[in-house]
Amino acid sequence: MINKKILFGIAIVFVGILSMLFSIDTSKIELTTKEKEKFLTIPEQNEQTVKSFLTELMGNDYELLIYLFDSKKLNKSIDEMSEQELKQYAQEIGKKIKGNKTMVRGQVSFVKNINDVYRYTILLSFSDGSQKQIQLDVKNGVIITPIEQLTKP
Amino acid sequence: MNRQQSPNYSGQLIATGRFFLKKKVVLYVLPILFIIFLLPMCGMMNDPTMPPYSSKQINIFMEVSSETNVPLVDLMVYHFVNQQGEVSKSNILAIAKKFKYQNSYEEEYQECRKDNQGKEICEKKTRTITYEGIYSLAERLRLDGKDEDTIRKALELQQIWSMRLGGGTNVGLLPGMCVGDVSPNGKAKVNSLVQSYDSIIRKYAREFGVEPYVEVMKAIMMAESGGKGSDPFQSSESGYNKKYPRVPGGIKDPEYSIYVGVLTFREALQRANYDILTAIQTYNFGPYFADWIKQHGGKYTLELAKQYSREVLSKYGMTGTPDHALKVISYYEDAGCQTASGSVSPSVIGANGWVWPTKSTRITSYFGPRKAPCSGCSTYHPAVDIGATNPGVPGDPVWAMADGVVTYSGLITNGGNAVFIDHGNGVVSRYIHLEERLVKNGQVVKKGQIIGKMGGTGGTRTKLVRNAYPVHLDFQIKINGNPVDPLTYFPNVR
Repeated sequence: MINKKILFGIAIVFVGILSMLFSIDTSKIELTTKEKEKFLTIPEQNEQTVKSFLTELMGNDYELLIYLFDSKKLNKSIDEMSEQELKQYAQEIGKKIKGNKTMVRGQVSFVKNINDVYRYTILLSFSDGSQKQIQLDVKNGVIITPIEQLTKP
Repeated sequence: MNRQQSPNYSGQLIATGRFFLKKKVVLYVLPILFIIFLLPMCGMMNDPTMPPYSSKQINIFMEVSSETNVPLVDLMVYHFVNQQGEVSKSNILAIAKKFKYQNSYEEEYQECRKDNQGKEICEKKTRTITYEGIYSLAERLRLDGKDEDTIRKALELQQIWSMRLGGGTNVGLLPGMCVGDVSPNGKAKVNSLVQSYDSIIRKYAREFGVEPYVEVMKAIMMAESGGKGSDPFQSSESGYNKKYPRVPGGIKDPEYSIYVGVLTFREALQRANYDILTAIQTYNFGPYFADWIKQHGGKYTLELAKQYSREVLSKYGMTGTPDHALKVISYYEDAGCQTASGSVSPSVIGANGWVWPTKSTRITSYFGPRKAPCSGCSTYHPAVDIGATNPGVPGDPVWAMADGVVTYSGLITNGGNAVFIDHGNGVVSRYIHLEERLVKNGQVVKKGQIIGKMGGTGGTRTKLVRNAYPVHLDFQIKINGNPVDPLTYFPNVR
């Protein structure tokens, strides 16, 4: 026979543990749970790239824009450029794509998937009312259209 | 023995007025009741509804504040004053819904004056009431005088603190958050004498709302006296000393020394906008040092402290100890800014709930036209450069200023390791010269998530060069493709 007092003691400890558990700040429980990394799917990444392309093109600073391209698709090697040269080159690219006009809108009008390459047909609208249609091929979140195709008038 | 007259009698029976409790009840039931009721009450000392809030809870407040445009401090004060239960997003959102006000409103009032014959003449006038200060806060919350006092007390005790109460932009620093180059989350490296005062320091720090700085204060005591003597905080010359002569070593009671020391350091912290190094030096130089430093770069440097000693203190025949802050900090092991999830957290909150992307707020190059720092460097800087916490030492964590998607994580020409994040609505941020990138293309990141480590990398798109630049973070914000000055959105970083 187990002594009643021991049983009582066990009960007290048990109740104590329970009450302490209820008083724990649950916000701290996350200390041990590591958040899972979350990634866009490839089609989502492609879409994000096009979105970024249009956002950058809308502005007047195009340095981020050129990094959306596969470096082999640029018509110059940017690797050896100085900061100033890179800035000038980015300006040249951005302005040429927009034909030196002020862009007011960029709209994806059509998307086609050919062997994992997403081809976006995009309509750029400018402040003078004119429009320009370009095609952007994106694979794995990287633009693979040669820059010349975009900069021609 | 008359049991009725012996309520503390500890024999077989205990008499308390008309009730008689048996020994078993005393031995078994009371301990159980004690455990059931008192232990959870001990837990309530860490009750999330009581400030100071944990970093995780502050993040929830920030998130809701950002979503609803209700100033952070209003949410926290309201929650605190009204004891609105646990800090969950739904709960705080519910509080935010109570705030439907504008920054100012017109109010009609009567202005009365007496004419020549002593007759009172009143006329109706209109005045604009703007929301500033705790009175307006109480007014906005429609609280009565009693509650207003509670808010005042809360604010005065620094349990909840804000530099601004105006609506719209949420800018503010809270005690315990990381500001400047040293965080409050370190550990003091002190001797056993100083350590023996831990509980007393903690007691007053809690009372005056500066508990996050207990370890810093222990480091101060270590530098001041090593815990020796009757004035271990060397606080006798403080204006808060109202009991003993204000001469070095004047205080003859260690607890009173700590009481005065904590109050003095609290004031130094407030004056220094919670920049720890500035506050420590203010403790040594006196309260006006913090005010002076605001006019001279905003934070402590040894050079500035020497200049203050030379130009200000010398007029009064004093020199002070310009390197006091550095001496104190040598007794302090900084652990960075920890959040509830154990990671390093953002410190400065800017407009839209954006967070400053790293721990340091030392700007080494501002946005806009500049003298080219190198041959081939651009003369227009479309970003701000932020220096490392320890100049020249890479590794400071860099985090995303807001939720978003990594649109580029890789090498860039002249920029080394770079991360670009699209936050939606035309807002993009870039972080370059990173020592290390910790996110990948297409990764969804949360505000405050660590995306890399500060460095000085450069090179090309195919070749990484370390130490190409001094260690710094090139931080850019673009809106609709155009770079904007990040400091516009972080006005408390200067």
